[in-house]
Amino acid sequence: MDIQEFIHGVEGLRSNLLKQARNYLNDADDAEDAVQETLVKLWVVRDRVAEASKMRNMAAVVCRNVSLNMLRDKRQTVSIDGAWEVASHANPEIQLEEREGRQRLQRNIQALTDKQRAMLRMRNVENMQYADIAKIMGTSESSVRGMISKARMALVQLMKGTEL
Amino acid sequence: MIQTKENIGKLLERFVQGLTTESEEQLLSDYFSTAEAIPEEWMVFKELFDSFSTDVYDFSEDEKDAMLARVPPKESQERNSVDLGGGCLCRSGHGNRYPHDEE
Repeated sequence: MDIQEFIHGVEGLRSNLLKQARNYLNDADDAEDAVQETLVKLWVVRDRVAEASKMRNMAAVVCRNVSLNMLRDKRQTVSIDGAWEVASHANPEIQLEEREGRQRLQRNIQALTDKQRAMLRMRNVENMQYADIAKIMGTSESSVRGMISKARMALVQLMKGTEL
Repeated sequence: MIQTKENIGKLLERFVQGLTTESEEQLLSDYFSTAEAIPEEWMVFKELFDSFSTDVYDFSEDEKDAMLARVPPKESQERNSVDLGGGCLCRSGHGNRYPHDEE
């Protein structure tokens, strides 16, 4: 399933998902977040979508799980408040420990939210355009850029982190 | 194209702010995969860009199963005894009830 097929497939689902998420979350912003996360996750599992007609049911299942998870763990995103400073302010004490390499990287990536990880993957691994990610999520490109920015900052902070 | 340090620095700044174009990001990616002497303070970005060509961002089959589990963790046990072991939708047959149908 390519991007256009997927976008076409989820086009009509959004309003129902929003209703569903609101039933669980009671808050319009949270519900919007839940729907966006649902659509991103649906993209992640698109290889499991045997036929387009199943998409609706799968979306409902993912949306319920996302909503329940949001209810349950009041979100534990990585805090990055104002932590970002660009290389002009390089800290010589921060050094990569190469030997930990991949394991550490994996831990850091798993410390992101699923949504952050999936979005980083969409843009820089799958090489999708920002505009297409926005279409999939049913939001604006600038909103997608904002979310991806936060994810990048969070990951860079994690990678720089000395506490691990 | 050879990039100056100043140029790369600016691009990196915009990259983390989510302001770079797709082709600028490609340019950064090319820089980090080919540059010989990368400044120490940018090694974290080398690791980041290198990571994009690995599978570390992939979701495992278990993680995908969890996204599609008709019975979400906890709570569901007592609430819905139907088809606990069913796993993901992809393997489900007909006649299963989805949460959507219950509304």
